[in-house]
Amino acid sequence: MEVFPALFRPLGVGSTGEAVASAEEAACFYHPQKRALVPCDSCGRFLCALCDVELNGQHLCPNCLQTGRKKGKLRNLENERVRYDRLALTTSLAPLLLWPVTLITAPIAIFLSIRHWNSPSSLVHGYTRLRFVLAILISLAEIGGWVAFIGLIFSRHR
Amino acid sequence: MSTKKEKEYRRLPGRGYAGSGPVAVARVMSRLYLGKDHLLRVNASWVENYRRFYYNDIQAIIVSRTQRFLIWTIILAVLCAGFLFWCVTVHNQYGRITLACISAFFGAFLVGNGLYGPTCRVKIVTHTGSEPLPSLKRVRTARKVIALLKPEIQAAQGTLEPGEIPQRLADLQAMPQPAGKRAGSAWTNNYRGALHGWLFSALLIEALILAAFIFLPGGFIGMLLIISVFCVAGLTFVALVKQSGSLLGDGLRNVTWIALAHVILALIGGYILMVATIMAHPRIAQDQFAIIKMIGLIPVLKTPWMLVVFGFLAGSAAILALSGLIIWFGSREAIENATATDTVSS
Repeated sequence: MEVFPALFRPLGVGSTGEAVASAEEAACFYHPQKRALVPCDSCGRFLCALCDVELNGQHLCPNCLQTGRKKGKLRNLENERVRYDRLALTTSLAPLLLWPVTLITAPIAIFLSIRHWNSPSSLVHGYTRLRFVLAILISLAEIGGWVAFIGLIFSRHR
Repeated sequence: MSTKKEKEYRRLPGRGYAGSGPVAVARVMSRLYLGKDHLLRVNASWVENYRRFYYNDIQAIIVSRTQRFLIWTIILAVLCAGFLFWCVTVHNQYGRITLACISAFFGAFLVGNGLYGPTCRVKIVTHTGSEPLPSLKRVRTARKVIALLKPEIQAAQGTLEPGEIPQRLADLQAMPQPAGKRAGSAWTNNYRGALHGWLFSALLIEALILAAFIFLPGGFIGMLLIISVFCVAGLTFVALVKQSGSLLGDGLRNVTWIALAHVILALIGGYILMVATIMAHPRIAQDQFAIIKMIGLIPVLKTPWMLVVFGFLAGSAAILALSGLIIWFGSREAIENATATDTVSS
């Protein structure tokens, strides 16, 4: 067991913000009765001690924090990402076990690859587009196989 | 882009599966990465889930040894030795080669298991609770990762003098715990007993096949019996490994160990029966299917000792299966509640 000083460190108590002393003092945008301490680094609104959220050296308001998280602009708040590259490659490869299904899955794999070509990739892995390229090539080969198969059937019937 | 990512995170040794389940279409692989100010745990399948542990917030890292190493060593050694012994007793050249290959297969895993070393489970503790690190399954890997992590944490928090730790821990334990907080949860893995349900169901099927064999002996039933015994054996071995360090109660664990005894008896009994059949019909010694067919033709009801053996095995399988299923059903809710409470308190 490895123990570190944080175990014995008491939990810090958050500040609720000081009241505005005079009318000349800048007030918080969200709490007009409280004194503003810092402006939001994203939208510029004044923030009291309660509203100020410090993240990666930036001071943000709760609104910008939520917006940044939703739009994926705050990497440190990202908790998950969909691996569309892996999904596309699996969609092109896995159905080969039941090859008739490839008639449907091959176009789906191509669609996924093109649609999410620029989607954010893994936070830690690279080589995302290689999987997309492989998925497209394999799917095209599957479609080509179907075209040849259908062509063969038609030519035999004639 | 990939160069920027490599600089941002450094991959740490070790990989493991997060979550549990005997069969999964897409297993969730867990890995650790070292960042500038935090440790990143990535659980990845088609969706990557991230959990950050900031160096400034890490309170402790707990490494607990598990029995998985010992259990797998025993299982692999028994399988390797068993097939090797069988190989020696078989006269057929191709049979010998096949059995030797199977023995070597298990032997390779045995050596690999020995080289990887003892198994463990690692937890990381912060103010919000504790989280498992499934990628650190071996003690050696855990030590390597902790050696890489420790300087980062010490750079963020400072260091403790060795003599300071016992006194501080004593002071911490003497402090009153906040209301509603659990004093400490027992270390568990995420396994919730799904495989045990399959095991006891398979045992029930085996009991039915054994009973059918008593009254309706035949080659087909004999083949079914052999398949069912080996299925139960495989499920028992894996269930024993899975239950180690899990939330399962003592009742379920004990029944699983008794199931192992039943499996060993069934395998020994089957082997003795096979040898007796070969001795009675030496011409079929080299034909496994003929041996099974011959065993199937034995009138169990008219052979007292066989009736006793098969009756005992069928009865014990049925009792084990029913008691196991009853305990398993009864403990499901308790396991789910315990898991939920453990998650909440974490």
